[in-house]
Amino acid sequence: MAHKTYQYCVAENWGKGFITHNDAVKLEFRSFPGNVWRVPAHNQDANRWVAGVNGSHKTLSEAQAIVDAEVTQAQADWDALPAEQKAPTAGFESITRPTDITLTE
Amino acid sequence: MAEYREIQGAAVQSLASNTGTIEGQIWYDTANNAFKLQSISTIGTFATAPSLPVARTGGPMFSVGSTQDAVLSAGANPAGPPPDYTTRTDVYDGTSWTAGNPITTAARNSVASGGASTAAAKMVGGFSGTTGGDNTVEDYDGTCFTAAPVMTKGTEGAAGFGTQTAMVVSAGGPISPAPQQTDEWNGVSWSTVNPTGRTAQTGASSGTLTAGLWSGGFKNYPGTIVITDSSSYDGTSWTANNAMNTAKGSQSPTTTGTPAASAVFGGNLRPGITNQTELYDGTSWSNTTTLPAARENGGGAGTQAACLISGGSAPSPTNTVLEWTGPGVAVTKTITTT
Repeated sequence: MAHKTYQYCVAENWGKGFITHNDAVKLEFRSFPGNVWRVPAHNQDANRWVAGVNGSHKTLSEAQAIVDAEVTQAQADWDALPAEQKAPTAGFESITRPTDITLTE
Repeated sequence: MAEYREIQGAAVQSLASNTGTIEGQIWYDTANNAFKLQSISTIGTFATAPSLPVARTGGPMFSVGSTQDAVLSAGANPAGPPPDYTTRTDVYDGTSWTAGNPITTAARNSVASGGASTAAAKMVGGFSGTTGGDNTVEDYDGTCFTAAPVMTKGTEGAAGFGTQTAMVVSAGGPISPAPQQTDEWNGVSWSTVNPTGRTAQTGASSGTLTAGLWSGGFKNYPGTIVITDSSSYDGTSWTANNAMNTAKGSQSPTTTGTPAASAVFGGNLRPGITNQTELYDGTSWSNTTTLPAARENGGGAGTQAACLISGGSAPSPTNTVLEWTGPGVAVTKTITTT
């Protein structure tokens, strides 16, 4: 079985205390669309954090599906924007089209 | 087995707070019934903070405050171009955000005085629909915004630092006819002083009138050329610094940072946005702990030691807020048995 580097969960960021500075010293956090969070696998601190934030564990494919759905919707929203917001033009700041995200384990 | 008293020469104290504790000290926290260790952070870290009431972006967003616990966020755009720019303001007290009184002119990409206090800030220019930027200026007294003497030119995405009574605004838009113009506010009026020596818009700026720092930005805003340039202002003239590691614009600055200790978070690489953090120590830029996710145009308020990054685009507008605690900062850790 391939060794996993990361694990994924879905958890709602409620603000202060969701990730503390002590958490951040111990763990590397990455967030993705759809409230998907990536933390190290096979790590007791990470397991405790997921439990502490009432996170719902997701497999790689489950997490990827959630992210894909969010990105697809965001891309559709971007495509529907007026042209001046898509391309940099005088006086208007462009909004970047969301790109596909590939999660790794 | 040796006891703590034998090693340290004193027993573990019982204290209600960390007041007066020193690096390396262990004490019993009577308020929380836990053993604590006073330590110094070795790396910078991001923690989550209460989200803004609504997602906002555009700028970087107007944001002032010298700590993580007292921040004013104003303006920007929640959805789209004019007339969608908002007059909304929100004030953070370290615990929660409260809606504040509105700004007079809805705009984004305004420049803020770095001011150490949210009770006396200055908001200059921005884009409210006038190509090239506005020349409007508003003062904040801790409660309300009021109109102040206007700038000599319209400006958007300028470099700005200082206080409500002593501030520098430089470069920014429009790219022509005076892209390097620098103006000083002395508390009474604006005057034009030595130009920047370079042109850019929507970079990061911080500091005071006599010790300011400006980095990155778009050379042909809102085009595709982002730059690594960094410059300092000493109250009289601009000096080129060593370059940042990565060219970027729309990064979030530590508005109260100094030319000897500043940081920038995220930004736009054209193409794509980044989660990079770069620290400046007065001589060179270094990469450090990255944001949990890429972000641009967030509001940055605070110092290299303690900063609040609010809102921005990731790449869609976000209301999430992060606390940054830099390396070398005193931190209190809870000692557990695991």
